[in-house]
Amino acid sequence: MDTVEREDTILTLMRVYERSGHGSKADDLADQTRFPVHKIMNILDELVLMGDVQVTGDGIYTLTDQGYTLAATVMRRHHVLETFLKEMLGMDHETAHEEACTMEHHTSENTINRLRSFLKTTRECPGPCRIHHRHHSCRTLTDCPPGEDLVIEAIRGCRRELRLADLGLVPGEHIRVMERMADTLLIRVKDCDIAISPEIARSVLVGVDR
Amino acid sequence: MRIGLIGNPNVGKSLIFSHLTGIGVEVSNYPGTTVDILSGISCIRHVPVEITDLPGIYSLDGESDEERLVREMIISRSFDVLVLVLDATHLERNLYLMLQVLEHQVPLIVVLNMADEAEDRGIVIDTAKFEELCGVPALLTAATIGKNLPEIIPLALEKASVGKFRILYDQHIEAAIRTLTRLSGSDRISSLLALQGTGTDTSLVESAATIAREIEEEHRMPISRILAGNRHHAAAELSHQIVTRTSSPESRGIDRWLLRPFPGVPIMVFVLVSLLLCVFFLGSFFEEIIVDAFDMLLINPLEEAHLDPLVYELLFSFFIAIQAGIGIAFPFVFIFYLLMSLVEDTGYMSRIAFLADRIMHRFGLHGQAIIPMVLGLGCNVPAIMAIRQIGTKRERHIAAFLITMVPCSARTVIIAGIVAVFVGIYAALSIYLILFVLILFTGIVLSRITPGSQIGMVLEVPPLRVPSPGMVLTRAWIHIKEFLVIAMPLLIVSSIILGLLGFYGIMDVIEHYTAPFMEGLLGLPSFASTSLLFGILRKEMAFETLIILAGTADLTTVMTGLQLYIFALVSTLFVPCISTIAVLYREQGLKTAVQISLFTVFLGLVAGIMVNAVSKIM
Repeated sequence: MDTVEREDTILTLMRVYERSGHGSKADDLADQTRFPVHKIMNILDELVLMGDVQVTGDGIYTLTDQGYTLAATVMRRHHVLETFLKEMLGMDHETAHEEACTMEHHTSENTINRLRSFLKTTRECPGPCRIHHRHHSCRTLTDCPPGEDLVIEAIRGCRRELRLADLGLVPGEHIRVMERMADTLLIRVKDCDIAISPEIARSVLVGVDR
Repeated sequence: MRIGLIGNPNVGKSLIFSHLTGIGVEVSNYPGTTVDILSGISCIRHVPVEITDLPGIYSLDGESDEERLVREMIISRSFDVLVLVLDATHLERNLYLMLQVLEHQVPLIVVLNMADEAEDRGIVIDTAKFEELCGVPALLTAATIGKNLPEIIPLALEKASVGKFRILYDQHIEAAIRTLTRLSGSDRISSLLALQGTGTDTSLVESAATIAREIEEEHRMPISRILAGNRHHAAAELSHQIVTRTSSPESRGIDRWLLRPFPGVPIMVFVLVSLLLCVFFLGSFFEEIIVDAFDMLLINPLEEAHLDPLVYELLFSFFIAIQAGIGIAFPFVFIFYLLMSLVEDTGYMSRIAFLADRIMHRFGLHGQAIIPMVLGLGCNVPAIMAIRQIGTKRERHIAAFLITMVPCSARTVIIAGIVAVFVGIYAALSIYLILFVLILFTGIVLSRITPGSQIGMVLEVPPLRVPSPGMVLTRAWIHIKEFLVIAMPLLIVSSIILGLLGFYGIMDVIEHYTAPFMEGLLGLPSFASTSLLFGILRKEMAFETLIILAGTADLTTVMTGLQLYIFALVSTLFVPCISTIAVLYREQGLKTAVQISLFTVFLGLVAGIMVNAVSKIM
């Protein structure tokens, strides 16, 4: 049984546990992982042998402490990879997530740690900052209260990227937050008011306009 | 001579268009899209000029239906001269599109509209300098007061020029353009488009893709974003040279109230509810007048004419179809679209989208989806066509479900005509409440179970404007014309079929089989099943056939209040009408159309059975 299937099963167990607070049955796991039932049974048996999973009398599978640690490690790998793909390579959320889902099983801890420290040093200062070596705290547009004057630092890959650029949301542009309705923002760019949904506002990184 | 009007949305392009062409405007639907193109003929100095109003766009490079359409029309040289309409109050943003159009080397003039408003705001535009820098003639106009509009066409005919302004792109892009033009012998604009992956010359696009990949790697951003940045930069420089601002009195007017959560949201609810009530009351008022007039002038004389029964049946069905069509189309649908165009032309629609964005996210949609849903109150068919604009497959799937449940004006007719008249106004409102709750519930469930992701909205909120009555009327007229063309023939044919079925006694056979179900579970008389069936053709026909089959317009004599209530509830939920199913099939595919139809049948029957059961217990 290969690592990918084992780790996927463990991740699913963790997700179910975090959502509902209890373990799951083999049938439900088969549904969620889309493995056939006989296969999931084999994987689970193996995991029990390895001490990552325990099973109660009525067929409920839960993670052991050891299994939980393993799941958390895989999850961390996933997060680091996804962030790297999104922020550094500019992939959109969907693709980055899918890619990270396959890469998480094959990347060594060493690579992950290196990627993480790389993200840490560059993340503070994306886009134009690298050239000017200025230091400012980068926030996304969603963090900004109404009335604040801002300057766009960078725009992460998102699917409305082109429309944003056409309306004048390009790095270096001065904008002002006019109104907030929950997380939906009304911003002023080039004298025009633009309404932006939260999921898009999150991909716009801004700094304070001085 | 063909002239195309091009410009950003909300720059007053349509108003200029209607000034230039007057009446006799033709609406054509560009093949394969839902984009409406208006064209009209105007005679200037004995030369017929065909003027086309292109859809408003922000850019020529985008991937939306409108942008692709305009780009294709410009590349294929569909126009002899382009009239580019720019908003003088937001010139910098508008210059972005101008710079793109200039690259295509089409003869062009620039119209700087809203000059009066710009003047009020202390914005002074140096047109001489503009002409000198760009090499195209410019004209200051104010469409709302008709200033300088008659000069547009003469200027376009005499002075249009391809211009000389050229954007200097990033050095890598410029190098790529040079390489590509030398390699393939094509011009600057084709190379530039090829770099962005568009074009018909496959070898050019292929070699451009290789270069583009390298540039994107180097810059760590897509080509399109690099180009956008360069263009915005050039536009800013240009506007810096030609625009001077003397003062900038910052005033947002009533927007300060409209866009705050409070009191913006209560105002929005008030506007939408009063819109509905207006359609409801004004509609019923006019409907009565029209229906009475028909009864007096056509139906009653026909009854007294003592014709052959078959001829009588045919004529009667024909007249009653016309009566129903006119009696509903004009009072309900026309008033709805009239008010709708009014709301749209003020610019309030985009404010609704902003305010509703949060709540629409609960349904897995975004603010822009509220526009088709509100349109759905008029007729589901154009509403479903409008959801093409709103992003991903998941969003369209959810929106399609919810829109078909929105009570369109035909269903308003049922609710108003049956429940409000015979049972009471509160009972009628309670049906709306039930529908509203069901839509909410369906939305929440669908957003949980529909796979895929959402992409959210980016929507310009234009300044509020006083709408022009002419424009509002024209737009409402275009909608009603569509309605009449689609609905009327269907209504007449089905009415005659219904008449013949009744005449030959086939109807009784159908009733015989559905009767136990109708009586047992829904508590409805057997003839109600036939009218429900006919409601599939057009919703309000459920109401009309009910009257025909009952043989009296005073329904309380044949059915109880509860039966009328259940009938109205079931028929409003039960299956979208045939034109909605057809448009669902065309826009969303067979699977979604079948799913929605089955779901609504189920919902309608369950709701009816439940109301019936509850009333029995009580």
